[in-house]
Amino acid sequence: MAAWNEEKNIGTTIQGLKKEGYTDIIVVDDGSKDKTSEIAEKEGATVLKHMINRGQGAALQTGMTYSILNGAEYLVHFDSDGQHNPKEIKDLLNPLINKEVGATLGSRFLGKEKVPFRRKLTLKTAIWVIWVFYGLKLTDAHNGFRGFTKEAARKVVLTSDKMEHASEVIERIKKRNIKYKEVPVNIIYEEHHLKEGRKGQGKFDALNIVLKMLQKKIWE
Amino acid sequence: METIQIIILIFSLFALSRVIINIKQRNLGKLESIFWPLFWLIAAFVSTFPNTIVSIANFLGVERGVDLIIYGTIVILAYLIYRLYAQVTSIERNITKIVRTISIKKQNEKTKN
Repeated sequence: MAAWNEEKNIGTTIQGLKKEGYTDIIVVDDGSKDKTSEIAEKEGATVLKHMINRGQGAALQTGMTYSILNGAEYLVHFDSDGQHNPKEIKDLLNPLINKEVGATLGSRFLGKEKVPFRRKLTLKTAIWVIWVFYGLKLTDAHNGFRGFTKEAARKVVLTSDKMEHASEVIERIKKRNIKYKEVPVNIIYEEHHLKEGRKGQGKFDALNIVLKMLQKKIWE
Repeated sequence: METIQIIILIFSLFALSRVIINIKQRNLGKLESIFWPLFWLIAAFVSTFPNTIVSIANFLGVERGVDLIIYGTIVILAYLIYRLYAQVTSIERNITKIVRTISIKKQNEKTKN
């Protein structure tokens, strides 16, 4: 879990995970100015602290590197602000444990869930862009709920520090030929997610995604 | 000599002096140590003898010397911005690597104790 100034949500998020029996919880505190790491530690999570804010992509990669170094077999990216349902982790893990695929990607559009219209528009554009750029036809884009086997996680290695990491994950999966599967998940759109100005996915719009991807394609 | 010519000449010489100081202090790479003195020397020369640029411009199919300078400058600036972008990206990545390594190291030390 990447967490940046999440003191309001991190505690309940970790409690939710523990309730489902998950104990190897790694929180990367991405230079928070509040009590995120204290609360996470108190709840029993392993907390890695970025001394300065480097972005969600950077934080997730720190978590992945640490997990692999410490012998993790399977890794799950989970939102720290309570948007994801811990009950659905098993849906992401099962295809990995059964050796079906190396990566599982949560999708909001496979289920029957209602996604607010504006987000839908942004996401559908992103899906289309990913299809054009990487040739992967997905039903959802930039869903932060994902699972990897350790072998796949080793191949993913994110270099995008900020929100573009979501596209980078997909780019890596394609480039390194990792077998993947989309799994229906529900995102909980609570009022506080929309109110807080959404530090996560909501902050960047379709145009921004396209620009960042273009930049990366042309300049690197 | 027009006033603008004098201003450009003085500025070019000033810039040249800064470049030379930087070269002496070994702050510039090999390529930059050649490019920047040459750039300001040419600027100083062209501002003093603006007619020289006109014949080059005509040869290249540009009518006025000033236009050639503007076109050339835009290309050079665009390239320099690209270089800066590449450098900043690489610095950013290195910062992240440092921050990551420190965070993991600290945690590992903590679990050891």
